[in-house]
Amino acid sequence: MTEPHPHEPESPDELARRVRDHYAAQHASDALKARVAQAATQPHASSAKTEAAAARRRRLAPPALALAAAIAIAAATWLVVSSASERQLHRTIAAEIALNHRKAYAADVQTSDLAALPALMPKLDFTPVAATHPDAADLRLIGARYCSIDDAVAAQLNYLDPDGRPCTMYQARADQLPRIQDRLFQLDGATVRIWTQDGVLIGLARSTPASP
Amino acid sequence: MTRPARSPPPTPPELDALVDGLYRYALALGQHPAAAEDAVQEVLLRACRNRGPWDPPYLAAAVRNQIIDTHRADTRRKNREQASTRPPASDPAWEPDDAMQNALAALRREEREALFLSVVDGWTASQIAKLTHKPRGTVLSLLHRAKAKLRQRLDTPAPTASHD
Repeated sequence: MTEPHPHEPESPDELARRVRDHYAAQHASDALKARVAQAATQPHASSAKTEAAAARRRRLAPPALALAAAIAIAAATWLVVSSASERQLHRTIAAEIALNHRKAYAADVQTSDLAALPALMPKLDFTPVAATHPDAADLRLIGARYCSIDDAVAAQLNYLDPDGRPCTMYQARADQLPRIQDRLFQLDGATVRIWTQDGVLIGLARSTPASP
Repeated sequence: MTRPARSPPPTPPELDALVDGLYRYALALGQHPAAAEDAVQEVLLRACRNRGPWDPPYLAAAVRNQIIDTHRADTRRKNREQASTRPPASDPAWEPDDAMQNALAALRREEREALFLSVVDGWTASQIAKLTHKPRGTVLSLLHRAKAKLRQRLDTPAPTASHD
């Protein structure tokens, strides 16, 4: 690198050239270059692992996606089918309750005390519960009898509403049934509401007033 | 800084040139060969591990960040060791060895960096501004001051227009 004369006029690029020359004379050590070259040519273990994992992901992605799609379709189908079959089951139960209600069989036991029923009806495999649904409020128990719902032993509880109209409530064990929030059916002259409470299926049937 | 897309690894000659280029930039930032080599090595080994990116401006930014991080760590360490009144240790193996070296060492770091990127690497003021997160006008001002100081240090007059 040649030094310009201190007082010699400098060309516009002279300073830049001197700066470039200065830096061009600086070199990284051979040891550093060798270390970097070695690292660049020898794949790092973690890189190899990363690449292997990526390859594995790429290889597994299509089957995994297909499997996920199949599961999603199956789940959706099951939901639709089970929802439809559930609705059908509820309707069948409500229809059976409406039929029993219309038959208006006489009570086997006369009692106004719900708590006395387990002793009076020992064949029941559950304990009748006091229904908390608003629709069952202000009903007065007058008697009960055995019946069956969906081939399971059940209790038919005869009530009178505040206006003295008879209504029947059916209770059966519901531990094999999915929980029923609250469903209302109009079936063959009866209004049937079904729900589950404390592991007991409850159906409340009232006669639908005849239209004028 | 946005991580650029992966590019193919450089060939051995390209890698050598890349190492030298980054080393010179690190010198311009740190003016200490050992620190410059450490920073370049750290950045390039990381690039090797991650298989890139090998984009020079990205690597330059990484070197810059590495040097700043190291400088901050050193500052913290020195503050902790403040009980000792010894002057900061200097690397006896490195002393400015010529007029240009002395003149560059007298510049502020940001002036030296702007000068290096502009004059050696050929970056525009806008590119330097983007890398250094400074306004373009500030970069132009840094370049102007750096050149003026160098001319003063090197005892060379400002360039004059030639009259034929």
